[in-house]
This record gives sequence, structure tokens and C-alpha cells, in this order.
Amino acid sequence: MSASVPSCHSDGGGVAAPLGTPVMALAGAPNVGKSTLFNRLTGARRDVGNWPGTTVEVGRGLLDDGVHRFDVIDLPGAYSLDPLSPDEALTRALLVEVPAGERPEVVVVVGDAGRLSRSLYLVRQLRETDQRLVLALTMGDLAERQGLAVDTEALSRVIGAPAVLIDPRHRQGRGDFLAAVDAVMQSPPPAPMPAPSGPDELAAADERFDWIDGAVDACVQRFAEGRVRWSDRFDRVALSPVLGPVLFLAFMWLVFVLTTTVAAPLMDALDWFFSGPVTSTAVAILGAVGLGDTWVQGLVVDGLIAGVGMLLTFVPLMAIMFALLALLEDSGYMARAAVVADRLMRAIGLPGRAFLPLIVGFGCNVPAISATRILPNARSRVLTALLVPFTSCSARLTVYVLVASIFFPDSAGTVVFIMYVLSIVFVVVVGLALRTTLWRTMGSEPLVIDLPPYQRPTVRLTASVAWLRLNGFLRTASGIIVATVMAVWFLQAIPATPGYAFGDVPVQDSVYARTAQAITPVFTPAGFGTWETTSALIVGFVAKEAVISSWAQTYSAEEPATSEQPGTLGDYVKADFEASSGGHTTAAVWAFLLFLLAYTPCVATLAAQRREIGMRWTVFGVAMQLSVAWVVAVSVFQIGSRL
Amino acid sequence: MRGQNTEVRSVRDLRVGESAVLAEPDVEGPQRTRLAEMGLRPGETVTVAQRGVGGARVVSVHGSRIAVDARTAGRLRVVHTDAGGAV
Repeated sequence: MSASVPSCHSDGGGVAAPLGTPVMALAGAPNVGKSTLFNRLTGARRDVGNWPGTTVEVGRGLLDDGVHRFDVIDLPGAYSLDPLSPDEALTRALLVEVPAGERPEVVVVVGDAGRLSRSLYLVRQLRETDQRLVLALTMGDLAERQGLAVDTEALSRVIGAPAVLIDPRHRQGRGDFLAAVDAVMQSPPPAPMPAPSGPDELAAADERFDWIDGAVDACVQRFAEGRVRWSDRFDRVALSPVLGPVLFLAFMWLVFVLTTTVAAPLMDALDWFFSGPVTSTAVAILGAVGLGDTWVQGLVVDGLIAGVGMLLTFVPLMAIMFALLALLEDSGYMARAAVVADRLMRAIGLPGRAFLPLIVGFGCNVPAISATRILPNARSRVLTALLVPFTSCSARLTVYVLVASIFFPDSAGTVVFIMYVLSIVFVVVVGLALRTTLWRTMGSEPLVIDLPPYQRPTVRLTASVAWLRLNGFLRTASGIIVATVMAVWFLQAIPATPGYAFGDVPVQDSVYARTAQAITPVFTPAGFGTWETTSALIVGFVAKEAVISSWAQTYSAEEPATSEQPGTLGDYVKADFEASSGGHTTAAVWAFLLFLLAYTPCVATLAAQRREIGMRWTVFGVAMQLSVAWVVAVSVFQIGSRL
Repeated sequence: MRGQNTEVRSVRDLRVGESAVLAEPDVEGPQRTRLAEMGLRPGETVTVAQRGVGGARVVSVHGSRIAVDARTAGRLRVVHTDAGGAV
């Protein structure tokens, strides 16, 4: 294997290694400190957290201290080379299935000193090949607190490869570790241990487990009876059938409230900053150089500044969300949350931990989709990321409130509540539909999860994880968001009728309006086929907040300048819905609200989806949502207007 | 009183604080290996530390605590129980 191996992607978390640099692969069970060791070795930062399955993608980085030089790969968590999940399958593919010349020069199995037996199955399987191997044992301090001592010299003899203690969390043991790596690199590849002679896989596994029992008996000494008692006591509450869910909901509520309410003023401030000082400064500068009121000003102010401004208003929301997630993971609570929500989520084929992204989605879909990376299984991630957009985010709330207060002024609150209930119905129904069609093979995974002792989260770890994830989001999302905002501006700037200059055309005479008019017939069977509403829905594709401003902008542009009594926005919207629905306004309004709930939330959501589940699934998601939204809207209007 | 020398068939049937020796689990091959990797192997002694939400069980084995859902707990067959004591 060389540094140019294309079989795994870089997430930008590390520095690219020059061609020909030997590859060191870090493998091991979830939650053993593999990512922390990766960070310690490479200086790059990656996701780390005290929760099984945090490392869900392959990251790379360069280890270069002047003496040692390795291209380090951080593999997904794997207990063994017998893959039960796509993440484990990837580990197997990179360590075993590639041709011998492309395998890593050295594999470091990272193990928890307090749970040695969990790491040894992978060690044994790798030792049945001629792979150069080092066993790096982390969490020696926790093992000691539990009354366990590991004799690494004896262990090295038993496994036929160096075993060393290293504590990347407290920055100890790096020298011993690198000396062990040097030693195996300078030796010939080790002679493989004999493969189990049993008649089938079960017998082979049993033989390996017997070997593991022998190794643990020979090398681990229990010098005291120790468990972290207060941790167990807290679990009596955290996992209790009654108080467990209450505590879980309280934590979820806190995450929801903090991400939305704490972020809101910061988002408003950023919004003000971009639409106020930044815009006026840009206008002033462009005016000073003679470009004021030209298409250049439109491009810079309505395209570039609006796009970048929208992207950056997400930053506080995402930062708070990621920091809270990191806290929950690092403290150990996330493993308990997975147990508490397991039964509920299992009904729609998702693991318990998928509850969190779905809850967060009611605040904002963008961080919710990023939060799907806490799921260890790739299929669960894809399914959850496809369902998150059906959770009704706060941006959609503003439109519900406006529409409900126009059409149902006496029961607006009830209408909004019903929208939230329908949002949950969408998640459940679409989840079940996907599960019984596309994911038929996805069995309900049994929940078997380690409950590590709780630990105090560290500020450094929380901040670095939050920053890493935020950085990743900005890198991936910036392009798509800015490009889409600029594309909408561009279409609004091109005149569709003669007599107007580029960038100086009323919106109803732009290519944008013509496009909306062309799409309008699609919504006629749903009862809201007017170009004003269609254009608001197109803008709503960029961001739901923009639906109201689009209506306002369109109706004010349409309004004759001589009008003595300008109507309110509500009057215009009401008149349009009455006309387009042939008098069945209520049915058309419900159809519109349901369409708004179910179709693509915003481009930032798409950017987040592309990052987490790839372009193919993102496109599938868009098509699915538009189809579901249209079918539901048309059905509601067609049935409602006949009642 | 349930527990001692009675028909206890799986971890699900154990009371909190009760210990038992695991038998061959009623699961498919790969899941069996996964359970074994987590320390839940035939011959190991497990103690039910807690009952959780939805019938999940927290079991102690070799000093670590593992949560299993109700269905999986029902498939972890046991061959022997004692009256059990404090966890």
C-alpha cells in the first residue's frame, strides 16, 4: 500500500502524505480511543467521543516527526474481520481483500486495556496472516481504576507481536509506541499463526475465543475489585423504565431549546450584519467606483453577500449543536440514550440513537442531517438523513403561522399544531414505506451496546470535535448554498420581455417568473396553481424563510403604482387561493401547507445531505420528497374540494 | 419464589441481581460472533444488573456492563442459575 491508495477518501482532517510513504492503519473496536490516537500521532483533528461507533468514516493524516514518517489511516470501528456492518466491511476490504502489495505496511490494533478480550479477536485474525502488527492498549488509567493490570511483555509473547500501553488522551506513551512500530518495520513479516482447524465458522470462532481466554488469563491481573459505582448508580436512573425516558426527553428538549433559542439572536445578529453594514458598505464602494445600481451591484449584494450571509447565519446553530452532541458522546450518555429510544425507533427500522437527529430536525434540518453521523451503520444513516427533511423545521413554522393567520385567524394555533403532528406522521409513514421497499433486507439490528463508565467531558475535546464538524460543514455546504442563491438572482436578473436591461427588470418580467409560470400548471390539480405561489415555492427551495418575502416582493411589484388603497399581503394571497381553487380555498390551503411541509426544506439541507450520504441519495431524496409532497397535496385538494 | 433451580431459560427470565451461565444463544452465526466479541459467550457467567426501558437488560460480564434489548435478552439462553445477590 502506498500513500496514493485511492480506496479510501480523505476528509481533509489530515495532511496528505507524499507518494511512497509507508501506510500505518489504525484498526480496532469502536470506542477504544482510536481517533484520539490518530490525532495524537498526526496532529490532525478528527471525531473522537466516548461512544461506540463514533469513527464512521476513513480519515487520513501524516505522521512526520523528523524520524518517523507514515501515512496514517483511521479505519472505522471493527470488532473483527467478519463484517456485520458496512463500516466493518470497509475495514475488512482495506486490510484483507486488497492485493498483498496494497495492504498497509503496518496495522496498529488499538485496544482498551480494561477490556483486553474485546481487542484480541481482531488481533488473532490478523495474526493468521503475515501482516506486521502492533497492539496499542489505551485507557490504562481506567483499567487501573477498575483494578486491572496488563502485563504487556507477557502479552507480546502470547500474540507474537509487540503490545504497548499508550495514553493519547493524556499524551503519554508515544515513544514506546513508535519504538515498537520501528521494531516491527525493521523485522521480516511475522510467521502467520495457524488458522483454526474447526469444521465451520462457529468452531473456528470458538477456537479463537479459547485462545483469547488463555491470553487474558496469562496477561491480565485483577488486583482489586473495582467498578465506577456512581456511574452504575446513575444508570439506575438513566436506564430506568420510567425515569429513563423522562431524563432522555429532558436532554433532548435541552438540545432542541439550546440549538434554536440560543442560536436565534446570534443568527439575527449575523443576518443584520450582512443585510445592514456589509450590504451598505458594498453599495457605497460600488457607487464610489461607478457601479452603483448596475447588475454588478445586484450580483454582489443580492447574489454573493446574500449567499455567504445565509451560509454564515447557520454557523452559531451548527456550532452549538455540534458542541452539545460532542458533550453527550464524550460523557458516555449517548450510549444510554441509544438504549432508551431503541424500542420506539425500532418500529420504523431505525436504531434508538436515530431519535436525536430527528428531534434536532424540528429546530433545523441542517445540523440534524450532520448529526446522523453518530449512527454507526451506513444504512441507518442514509435512511435517517432521508427522513430528517420531513421533520418540520422552524423556518417552515413562519410560513405556517402566516398562512394560518390569513385563512384560519381563529384557530391558527391549532393549525400549526396539526402541522407538527402531520410532520411526525410523514416521518413514520415514509420510514415504514422505505423500510418495506428499499430496505427490506435491513433486519432489525439487535441492540447490544457497551455501557462505558461515565466520564467528565473535556473542553478541549468538545471544542475540537465541534470545530472539526463545523469546518467540514462549511467546506462542503458553502459551494452549493452560494451557487444556488446566485443562480436565483441570475434568473431574476435576466429579462424575459424586451425593453429591460440585464439586472434591471421587474421580477414578473424576468426569466425567473417565466420559469415559475411554466411550472404553475403542475400545481393546478392541487388548487394553488398561480405563478406567484409557484415562484414562492421555488424560492422556498433555497430557504423556507424566503417564501414570505417572495410573496411580499411579487405582490408589491405587481401592485399598480397608482393604487390608492394598497391591500395587505394576506388579501392578495387569499384572493389568489380563492381564484386558483375554484372556491375550495380551505382544501387548497391545506394542500399548500402539506406541500410546504413535505418538499425539499432548503439548499443547505441538500448540502448537508450530500456531505453525509452522497450525491446519489441526495438526488433520490429530492425526487422522493417532491413526489410525496405533490401526491399528498393533490390528493388533499381533490378529496377536500369534493366534500 | 422464582429463580433457584426452576425453569429459567434466558437472560430475560432472570431477576435483577441474579446470575447465570450462558448457553448456546438462539441467534444466527454472525450475531453469535458479535455477542461473543462483546463477552457474551457460552460458559460465561452473567449477572442482570438492571432492567431498562422496553424490557432491555443491563448485564454485567467480566467487569463490563452491556445493554441488550428485550428480544436479544430472550435469545441469550442460560443453563444454570443461582439465587443471586447484590450486583
